[in-house]
Amino acid sequence: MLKALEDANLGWADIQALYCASAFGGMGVGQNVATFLGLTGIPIVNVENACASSLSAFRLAFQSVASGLYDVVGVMGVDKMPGGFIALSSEPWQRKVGYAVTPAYMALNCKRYMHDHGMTAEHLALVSAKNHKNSTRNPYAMYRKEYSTQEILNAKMVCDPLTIYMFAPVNEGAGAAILCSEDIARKANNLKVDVMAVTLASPLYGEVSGSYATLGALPMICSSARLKKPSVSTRAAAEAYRISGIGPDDVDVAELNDGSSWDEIQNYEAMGFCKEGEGYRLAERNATSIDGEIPVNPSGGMESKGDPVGPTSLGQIAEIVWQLRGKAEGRQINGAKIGLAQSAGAASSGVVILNAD
Amino acid sequence: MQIPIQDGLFREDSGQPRLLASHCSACGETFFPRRNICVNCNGNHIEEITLDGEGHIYTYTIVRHKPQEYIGSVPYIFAQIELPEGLRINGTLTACDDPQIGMRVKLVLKSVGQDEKGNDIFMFMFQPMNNHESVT
Repeated sequence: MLKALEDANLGWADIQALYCASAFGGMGVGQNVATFLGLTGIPIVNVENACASSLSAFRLAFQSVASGLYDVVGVMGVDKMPGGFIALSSEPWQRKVGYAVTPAYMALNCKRYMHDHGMTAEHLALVSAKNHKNSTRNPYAMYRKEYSTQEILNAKMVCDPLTIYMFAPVNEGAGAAILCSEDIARKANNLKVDVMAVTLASPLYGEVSGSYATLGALPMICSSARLKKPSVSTRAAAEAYRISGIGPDDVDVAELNDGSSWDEIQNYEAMGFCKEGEGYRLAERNATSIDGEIPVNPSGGMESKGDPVGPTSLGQIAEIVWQLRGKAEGRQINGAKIGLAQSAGAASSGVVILNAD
Repeated sequence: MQIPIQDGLFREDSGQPRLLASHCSACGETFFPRRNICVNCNGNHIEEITLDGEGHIYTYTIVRHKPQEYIGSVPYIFAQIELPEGLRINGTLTACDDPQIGMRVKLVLKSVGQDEKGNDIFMFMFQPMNNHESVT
């Protein structure tokens, strides 16, 4: 928060409301953090939406400035993750019989997609290798080491076909952003970035296979074989494009959820960067590398930065802001003007579109 | 004594395992486990039905590391089974060495351990059909 305030050329006393995202911080975590910054009496609201928690908090902050209620609002994400598999809320019997394993649901969807579309494990490894390569230029990444596709394929198998290097590791972290009205932004610093759209969608019943809603990680354990509704990420992106008036071709840089390499590939499709069933082809022809036609996860993605849950979306949004300001040293996408950050968590998905003048 | 891992999931009818499901007469969707409100059309035209649990593997994975609170052994095969009633349900596979997408499977009840009183705890699982017939 102090770094964000310094960046914005504002003080903690300027913040009129705070939204704090956390999944493991416990009750009242935002108020607790505020005791280290100063008790200023502002409303503080804690927000939890798994790995999309801070996108959800960002959206609330955006709404409270856009509505005219406040001029300057803070968003924060804080978490320290326990080790092991992440599991969404589930019933005790589901945990006992091995149903509450998030990576297993990713693998189920991935395996079927491979069967339907011809993707191979090598494509998954290409995504991971690309992200780990990008991470070597990001001082904020948890892992800053390059891996070859062979090392990634030979790594410990977690849930077939996904090896451990194809997943975002659990970790801890913090992030912050300041949202304010345009006149305050102009006065505060000359590095203003506009929020064009922030969307958030939860599942429909009967989404196409491969979407987050078929993640039976929620207590509902069936999905429809008859219905083919658009996925939660597809709907979140379509809404963001409608609000912002831009299309996928206008996006210069994107940070997409890569909870696993497979998630990044399905999100290429959901964001409209390619046709359905062709996401892995983008990886195949290197289209999403830093010098590719649509660079994705120049930060190294969650695969390199880790998934601290509460702050995860703010990590993505921060990277887009740095890219749009031309300040992503060593990994800068030349001339990036419009950036997109997509988060997925709690079977939901959200998209932020940012624009630098 | 044999006890189910959770009430309301399955029962045995003359030795045949059955899943306890709900069918929405308004939109035609079928749900497992049972629910009172249709998660698709939000209506309450719900009938209680049972499923015989014969279907095919829609997709599968192998879980290699023991999840927290899991009482079975690893590795285990975790799958989505597509049933002719138009739904896919999650389930573990038993007695299956070589899972394949499309492989025909049937519903079985298996002991997954004992409670503190020594009762066998039963859970539903899926097992390949003998003839290994396959659909895509």
